[in-house]
Amino acid sequence: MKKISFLAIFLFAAASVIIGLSSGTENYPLTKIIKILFNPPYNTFERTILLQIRLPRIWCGFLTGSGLAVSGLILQAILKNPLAESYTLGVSGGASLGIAFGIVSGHMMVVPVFAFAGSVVSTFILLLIASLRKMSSGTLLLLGIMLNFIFSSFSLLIITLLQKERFMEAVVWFMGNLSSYHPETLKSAPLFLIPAYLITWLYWKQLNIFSLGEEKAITLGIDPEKKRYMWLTLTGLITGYCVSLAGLVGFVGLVIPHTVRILVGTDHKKTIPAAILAGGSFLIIADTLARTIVKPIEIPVGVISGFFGGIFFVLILLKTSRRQKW
Amino acid sequence: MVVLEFKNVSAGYGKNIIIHNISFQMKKGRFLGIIGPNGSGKSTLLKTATKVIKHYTGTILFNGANIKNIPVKEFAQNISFLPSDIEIAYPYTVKELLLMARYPFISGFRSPASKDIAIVNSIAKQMGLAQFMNRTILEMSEGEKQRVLLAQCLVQEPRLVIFDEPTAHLDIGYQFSFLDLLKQYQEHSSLSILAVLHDLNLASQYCDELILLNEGSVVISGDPQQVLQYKILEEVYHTNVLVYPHPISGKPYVFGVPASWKNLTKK
Repeated sequence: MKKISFLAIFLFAAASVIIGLSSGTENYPLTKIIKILFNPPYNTFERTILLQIRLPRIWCGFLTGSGLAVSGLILQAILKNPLAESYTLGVSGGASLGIAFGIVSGHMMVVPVFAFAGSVVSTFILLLIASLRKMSSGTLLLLGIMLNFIFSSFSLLIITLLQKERFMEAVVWFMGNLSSYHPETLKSAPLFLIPAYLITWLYWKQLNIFSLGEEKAITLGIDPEKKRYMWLTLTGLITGYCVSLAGLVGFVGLVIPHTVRILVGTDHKKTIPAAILAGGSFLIIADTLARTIVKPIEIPVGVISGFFGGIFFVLILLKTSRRQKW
Repeated sequence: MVVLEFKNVSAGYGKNIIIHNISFQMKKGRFLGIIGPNGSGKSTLLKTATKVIKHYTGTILFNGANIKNIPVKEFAQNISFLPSDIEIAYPYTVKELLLMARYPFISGFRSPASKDIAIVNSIAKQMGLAQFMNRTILEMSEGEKQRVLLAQCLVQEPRLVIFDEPTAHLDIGYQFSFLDLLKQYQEHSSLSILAVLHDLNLASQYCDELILLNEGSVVISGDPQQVLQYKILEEVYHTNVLVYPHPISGKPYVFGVPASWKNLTKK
């Protein structure tokens, strides 16, 4: 059963790439894609569309989706709370504040940098407050939600007061979209993200132990107090890169880990690679829908992932809630 | 040989000190029970012994070494802990949970080896869990769940196991089978057991020694006969009790007495 699920996730990932490549303003069937890519001449217009426009965007979607899914998985384990994800820990608020500053500055090039800085700074603010006194993971989660409110209110204040006319631009970033990534960001993000995924996977045992709770962790060989901060920093950085690529794509970090647990089980040795694949390909599919569903208008991918992902998840819940308990 | 020793330990949460100047020695292979009313500091004592609470005054020694100086992995190779009311948040299978107890013995990024799997299987078999290995913990009854968590502690092959009210939510059948299993391990592999027990009679029947705590301090320690005296219990628990020997074991058995019976003669 679990092996078949893994195979299914692989197939889903492969299919998402093919669907992403073939759909767009003009649809190319698979045979045509193969012809364009592997047969001369190598300088056709279609080839440019596939390799210069669609493929980077697929890659961008994959990195963002996988990063958010892995962060969610890590946070749900270390806080022993299935509602944890980067966005419930204040990172989205911090990122939106960064985005607001970036937009107000008037240079669109700096928005990704500011978004990244916002996520990382908000993670450190969370860590700083958390280190002042010993906190249960539930309190930490509440603290994150409050920080989120404070940051995102502030960012809306900035936008409405200073740059009302650029409100739509801000909304596009706040909703998440894969159309306005910067090529430089796309080049540098995987240099961090891919090693971060590998490191996370190497530490699957630690995440398993973490998820049993802090009291159990010490007598299983892990000091949760120290390691918790390391993991929070890692997820802050991962999310920072995701936000700088695609803005605030919500939802993936919460839903993908749950879906993956249902499919392949709870052991992090399996859930980490499954979440990377499923998160990445989920966002590719969502983005393909976002750019094709009402051609030629592009909908922010966050809208699609939230809407269809939400319905999909409610269906999963209804089907499995009888045996699964969260 | 002393396996665990508390020397003048005071501990609590932040400024709120809950246990005061606790000192005791626990000999190897013994079953030491901690009893006392609610809020008397029993769990705090266990959390201090298991390094969950790190800020305390005094010294705690495990096999003669200060536990502050024992690296966390080495600590986990020797001591296992079952906290009270442990809630497993995710649907791990029994097999996965048991294998986790082998992690302290696995170096680096390796996966559990066949030796680890053999230990897991043999303990699962001894504890009647062999047929549940692929079930998830969330599907199990409270009694089965507690047995899995006990098995997890034993898979760790500890020298010392520490339990916080392990039988709290179990029916009488599971209570006895849990403690019987534990007793078997104590006798066969000279396992040392430190447990907080709510039920004075279970404590009396199974423990070699008892420590009675009240308001964070030791009232009396010794074997069950010495500790479970009605005068002491009445003072500590603020209720009337009768203590009679158990008809088979001869160990003290505590009967509660409702207030409305007060006019009846006692003992």
